[in-house]
Amino acid sequence: MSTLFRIARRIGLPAVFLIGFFVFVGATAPWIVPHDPTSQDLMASNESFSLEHPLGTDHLGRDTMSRLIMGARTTLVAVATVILFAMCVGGLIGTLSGYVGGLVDEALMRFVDFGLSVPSMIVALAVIGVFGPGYWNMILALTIAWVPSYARLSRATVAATVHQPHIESLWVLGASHPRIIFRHLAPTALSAILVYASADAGVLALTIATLSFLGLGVQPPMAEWGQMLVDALPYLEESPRQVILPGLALTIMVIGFNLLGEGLALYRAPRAIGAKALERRRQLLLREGEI
Amino acid sequence: MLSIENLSVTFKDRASGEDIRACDGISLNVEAGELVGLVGESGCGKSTLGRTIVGLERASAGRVLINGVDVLTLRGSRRRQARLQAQYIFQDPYTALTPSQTIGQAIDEALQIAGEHNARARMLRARSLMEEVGLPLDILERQPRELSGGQRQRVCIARSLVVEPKVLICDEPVSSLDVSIRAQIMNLFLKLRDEKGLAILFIAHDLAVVRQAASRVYVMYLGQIMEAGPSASVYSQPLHPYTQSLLSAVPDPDPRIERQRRRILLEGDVPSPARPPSGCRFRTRCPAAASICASEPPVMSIGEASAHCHFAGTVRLMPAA
Amino acid sequence: MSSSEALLDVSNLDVTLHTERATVRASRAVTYSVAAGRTLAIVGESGSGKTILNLAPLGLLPPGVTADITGEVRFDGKLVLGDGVNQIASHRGKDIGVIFQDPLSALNPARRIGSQIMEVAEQHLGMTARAASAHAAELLKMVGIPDPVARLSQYPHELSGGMRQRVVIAAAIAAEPKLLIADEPTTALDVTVQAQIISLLRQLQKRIGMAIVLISHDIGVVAGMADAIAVMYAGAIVEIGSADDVLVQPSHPYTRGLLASVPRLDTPLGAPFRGLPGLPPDLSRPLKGCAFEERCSVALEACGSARPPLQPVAGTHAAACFANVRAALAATR
Repeated sequence: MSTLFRIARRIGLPAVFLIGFFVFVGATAPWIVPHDPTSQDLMASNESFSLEHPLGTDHLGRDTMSRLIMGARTTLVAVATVILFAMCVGGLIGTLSGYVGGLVDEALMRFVDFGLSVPSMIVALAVIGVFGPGYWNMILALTIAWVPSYARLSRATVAATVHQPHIESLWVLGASHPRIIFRHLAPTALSAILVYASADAGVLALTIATLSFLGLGVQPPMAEWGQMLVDALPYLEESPRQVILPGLALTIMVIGFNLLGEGLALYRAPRAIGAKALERRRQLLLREGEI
Repeated sequence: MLSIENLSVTFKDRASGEDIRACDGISLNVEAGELVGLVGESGCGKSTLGRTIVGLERASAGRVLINGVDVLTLRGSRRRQARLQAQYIFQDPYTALTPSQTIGQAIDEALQIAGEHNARARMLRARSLMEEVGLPLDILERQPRELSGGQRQRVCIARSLVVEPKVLICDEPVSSLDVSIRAQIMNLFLKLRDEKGLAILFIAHDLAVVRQAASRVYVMYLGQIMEAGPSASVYSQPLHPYTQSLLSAVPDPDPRIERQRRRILLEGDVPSPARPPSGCRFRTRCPAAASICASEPPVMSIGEASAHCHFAGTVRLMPAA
Repeated sequence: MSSSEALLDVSNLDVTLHTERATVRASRAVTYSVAAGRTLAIVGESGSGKTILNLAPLGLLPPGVTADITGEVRFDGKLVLGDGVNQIASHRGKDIGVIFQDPLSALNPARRIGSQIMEVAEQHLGMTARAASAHAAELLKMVGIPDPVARLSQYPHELSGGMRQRVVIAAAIAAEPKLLIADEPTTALDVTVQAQIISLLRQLQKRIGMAIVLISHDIGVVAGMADAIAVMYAGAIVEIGSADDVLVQPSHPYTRGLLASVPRLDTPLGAPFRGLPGLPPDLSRPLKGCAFEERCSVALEACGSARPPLQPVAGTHAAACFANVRAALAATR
């Protein structure tokens, strides 16, 4: 337990608590929602805070709290799926490109450059244009849009690692290409992507909300924060909380991911000793009284 | 045991697109049970030569014979088998070990690669290797960062012995170690040479270390061998002006000698290997260069000690004041 | 080496480094001085504290390291460290020049070398850009770089290692410092270039009259440059004296072992290599006795329980070894 706490503290407690909170809520959403997030009650539309509906209801009388909770699940599942697949595909392309080098590298990287030169949003829009809107189509579109940057990153990591003596020494010892790639290079590339992806997840969450806001992503009646914003816009004046609450949830999640990414990136960087620990060390030295 | 004939290695410079000849027609040989030195300044191509022998760089021409077999002409698993006969020791023993593996895991992986499927046999072998290089067994449980430089280099040597090589290429294996520790590693190399009959090609810039350990020495400059011969004669009667200037630059730990010392200070920088000088490679910095040096490349004189110089043995550079 | 004429006078300097993981006694009770125009070499192996000892008081520390520094440092007659003051860092670049080991990382790769040298001259000598540019060209000429005016507009990567180190030296002496701290100035260079850099530093010293603190592990380099030598082991000076005293008649068993490990061009061919057994102690753990005891061939019983102080051997030559004291007593009897 104390090791877990130490790891969490090194990453940064705010990041761990924020993301941990969203992950917990998202994972348990179907069981902790007070109401069915899709069941309508037109008699109780646009209600304010109450015991029955702690965060009120929307224009169709659906429980806002339940929809916020389910929305966290929708976003996190999409974010995790996109990252997982983009990481596998991009990581593989990048690792191969960096390892093989030469013409293969040139060809793959020009392809990736093309992908990177077009904004992810445009790529996603194009893919949705072909396959049509919808939750899983959106996930597919975002995966395709996200692959190039992960490929580029893992290629850079592998290209920097492959000529390091610890990899070269394996080659000299007669290690096979698959062993070097899958046991040594790929894990290095994946850990680099993971650090990048955790900060990048915030951007992904925002893109998901944007696509749904535009009606291209999550379709009604599925609960999603971008969707909730669209639904609430016409009632902005009479019940602004319906806009503020999903917006706030999204903002907090993005901040959480950014903090997490920063914490992971600096995880191994040397840090100065804390003031209290420093004082303890000084006292200890005095007590040892050596010289 | 190791014989290199007319080996050339060419790189393409990414920025300028020029061909860089890191090694240009190198021939050398190392017998079993012999430690041979390869010295030269940084950028002369000595590391490239060593890396090409073990397959880390691609040769553009020439032959690399290990135990009489030309490694460069073989393909597939026969090439791998032949190549494994030569192992490589890197300069920096810290980066040569995977940081996340314990020493035991690193040795175990090398044994797996070598085809030992029995975990117990691997463990026993790892222990005997530790003993062979003079390390305590508890090192197997440790991470590379917990070890000193000397200990790490011993681990690297132990790992290279896994495949029972006949040839060891050592690329500056002690230059990143502390002076007082170097002797332990150097004596380990000498022991392996004598007890296992290893042919060791010892690549270094430290002339004094090479002199003490090597029976023969090759001097490289700008991709070519300038001088070759038994240590005794190369160090006492260097034939090539470049060898003479290198030797005159070696500092001595006695300040009284240092105060009397006069050095041959070479002018200018090493030319780019993309555009080597015509004729003799060393002529642009050679105080004794004549017009023939620019027009005709010198041939290697033949003899026990030989030099790549038109005036081999007849020039004796005088140190400047 | 009396402290009245010394340019730099360091006494009882203790440096303790704290990181998240450990606390290291990097140097203990270090005392030395250097006079103007002279060179003191601080010799030691990795982890001996020779580098941190000189760089920590200048505020040059790796990231994440907190240093506790106690002791006194006088520079040019003024107390710059101790008694609650620490003004050494304010002299850096002006009165105190620093040369680092790696000439490439000491220069900004994205800036022309001319502007990197001019910056020092403009900041510390108050020169105009035009004057600083002329000054920079003159400095490059002084450090033996051909065609100095053309070089001013080149970038560091366009120069060879030896040339880069000359640029670093030019930048370090741009403000005509009274003291030059050279941390392994030739380690990254080839022997032929090394010889050039050493003779350059010696010439510059003669011309400007600056004092040099040379930090090095390379006995050969030290022998060619130093007037005086301090040998460090495990954070403490174990032997100090003139270069001839320390290198020709070494008194401390560590110095003797270190000198024996240096291969020379006159060692018998094929002889086994001589070095020291074992490893230096871990400075994050408390030390009871002499730090060298475990590796020492002449250790006495007392060496395990008390730390030997520096004792004069002859004149300014001193060593910290109990075995020496006993031998001296035996000789006088």
